[in-house]
Amino acid sequence: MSRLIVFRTLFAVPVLFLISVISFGMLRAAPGDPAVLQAGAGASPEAIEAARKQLRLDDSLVEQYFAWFAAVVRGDLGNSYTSGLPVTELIGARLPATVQLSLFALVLIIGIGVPLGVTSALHRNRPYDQLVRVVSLIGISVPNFVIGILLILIFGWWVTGVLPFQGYVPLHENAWENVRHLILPATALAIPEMGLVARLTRSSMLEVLGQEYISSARALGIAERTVIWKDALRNALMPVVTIVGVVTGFLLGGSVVVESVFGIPGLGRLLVESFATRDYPVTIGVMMFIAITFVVINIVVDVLYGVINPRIRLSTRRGAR
Amino acid sequence: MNGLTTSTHPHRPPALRVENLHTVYRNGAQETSVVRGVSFDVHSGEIVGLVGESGSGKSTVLKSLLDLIGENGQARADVLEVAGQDVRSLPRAEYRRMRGVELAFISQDPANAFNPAWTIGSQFRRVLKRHFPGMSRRELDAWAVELLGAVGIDGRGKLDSYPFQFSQGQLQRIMIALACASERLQVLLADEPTTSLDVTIEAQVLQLIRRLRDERGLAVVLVTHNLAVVAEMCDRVLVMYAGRIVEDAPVRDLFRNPQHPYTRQLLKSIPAFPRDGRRLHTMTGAVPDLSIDVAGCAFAPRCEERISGLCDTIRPVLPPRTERATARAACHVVSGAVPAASGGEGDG
Ligand SMILES: Nc1ncnc2c1ncn2[C@@H]1O[C@H](COP(=O)(O)OP(=O)(O)OP(=O)(O)O)[C@@H](O)[C@H]1O
Ligand SMILES: [Mg+2]
Repeated sequence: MSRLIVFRTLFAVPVLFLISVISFGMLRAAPGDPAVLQAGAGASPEAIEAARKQLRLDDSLVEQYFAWFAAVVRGDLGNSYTSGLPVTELIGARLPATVQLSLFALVLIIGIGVPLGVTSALHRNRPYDQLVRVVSLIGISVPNFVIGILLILIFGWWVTGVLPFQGYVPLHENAWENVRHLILPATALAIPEMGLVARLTRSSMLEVLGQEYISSARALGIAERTVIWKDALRNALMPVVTIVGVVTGFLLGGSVVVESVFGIPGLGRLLVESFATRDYPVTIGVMMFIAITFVVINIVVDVLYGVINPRIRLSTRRGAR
Repeated sequence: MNGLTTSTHPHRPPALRVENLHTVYRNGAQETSVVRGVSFDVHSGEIVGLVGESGSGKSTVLKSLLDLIGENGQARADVLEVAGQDVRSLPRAEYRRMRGVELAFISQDPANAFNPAWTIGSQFRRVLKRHFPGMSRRELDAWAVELLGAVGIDGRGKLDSYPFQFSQGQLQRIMIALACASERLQVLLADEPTTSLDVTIEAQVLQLIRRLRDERGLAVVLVTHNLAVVAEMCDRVLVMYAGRIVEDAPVRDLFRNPQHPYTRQLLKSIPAFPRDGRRLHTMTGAVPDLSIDVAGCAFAPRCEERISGLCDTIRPVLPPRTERATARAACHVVSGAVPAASGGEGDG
């Protein structure tokens, strides 16, 4: 098991390195001059030149990259061009909203998607199943920001006053309002992935229900309830667990848009804001942070999968000896 | 329609009795009638073989008896008695509770018969808990080791192992131990229990089934493709073709004097040893399409002895069992019927 973790971590290093090089390069290739934005509109050429010097934008791209890289290895993501604050501090300030939003969405995805998939499989080809399949397909096909705008329309125009549709209240200030403010954005973020999870759970459940060991359990007289909710579900969830890592990646990516739509001061919005001002250190800092989080989550999911799957657990244990 | 007499146990009622079993599968608008009026009985201590080509409905018969036909199918019978109980008068849930208690099932695929996520021990415990509700975990484990010992597996320290850590042959024996854990067991349904095993292991498993029959007086239905297994294990043989039983004979009679042309063709397709130099007989034609119901004998199109004008228009039925003629076949040629004298339509 520990071997698995070490192996996956080592494998992640070159991947992260590659991501950093690509995003660094693409960012610099994007149009817009941070020095101009930094010096402000209508600034004199001298002021812009001074800003350029200060930001070390005249160095070659490779030099800039290695200066940044050397700092990152020491845990320093640099300072924001605009506010001068350390990037780590900015990320720290914006992290809680994104974490909360993603967790909330994940709870919705699993808490609703899995039961929908299971019940749909149990009512295979009946109207309920067909309904779930159509609805989840629609959920998958509609982008989350469209769902977000739709929700804002509904709750900001037709049924006003029921749920807040803009802004964020920190948890420590008012827990109740915090949750209320997250309901709509989490729903918008969750619906596409929920559809995905429901469909995956359904097909996985159907496959497991057709397995010999299910008939075998029934023939041994095990109660139908146990057969479905224990024998079948546990095995049906294995593939679902493996995609939770991917889903979490989608959530982090999706939050970029959804946070902007719902005015939530999270990492996603920080990314958008920093890019608008060509605040390179912040943009790349957030990107790297999201990439690392994604990699770590996927390692955790792989390890978890090993824990619930005895075949993998035992073979890696044997391999470690 | 069926006299309840057999040569072996004339007095006791059979442990398993089924009459006029019909099973259909629905696939969209199409209905396939897979089992078409099957009747038979099995007495305690008797091993009845169920043979026939692939697709003739053997597994479906067993699944129907176990109420394991999925949602896209339906089974019904005029009589279904298990361990002297009229099952059709019981609520469905109650009949389902008889599974694993009075009635057990062994499949052909031991590798997939166990839940891969759980240890063998936990799969034993939850079955044994049904049979011995008062037992503690330690007692259950001890009993599991005992049962494993009886099928030739040293279970000590292996209860925490997962199914994939055992070989196919071990798994099949473990499945037999698990399926036969109930002390009230009377009927064992085995669907090609040795198909996936190699020859030496096959012999062990067959030996085990025979021993269970001998020691516990089980009534066994043994589905198999292997006629050598039939010859060695069975007391009586049912030959199935296209969802019906076409011949019912004591095992000796079947091999010495097969009645139905289909049975004769089946026997001809076994290789002789030592080789007799003749080419192996291969049956011509294929199993009929079960979604169409033909008027005459389902085997007629492939039969070398068919009487045209009779076999393809009037369906032969299995004559009722009498003590005199213990072997019987659903065939006009065998019963020596002429078109006018043939009996009415009915279920075979
Ligand atoms: N769940 C199902 N849905 C639809 N048709 C089925 C189903 N199960 C079996 N059948 C059909 O029923 C027929 C009989 O199948 P069955 O498995 O009973 O045959 P069998 O005699 O056991 O064959 P084999 O020797 O290959 O095991 C086949 O034509 C098969 O295609
Ligand atoms: Mg079969």
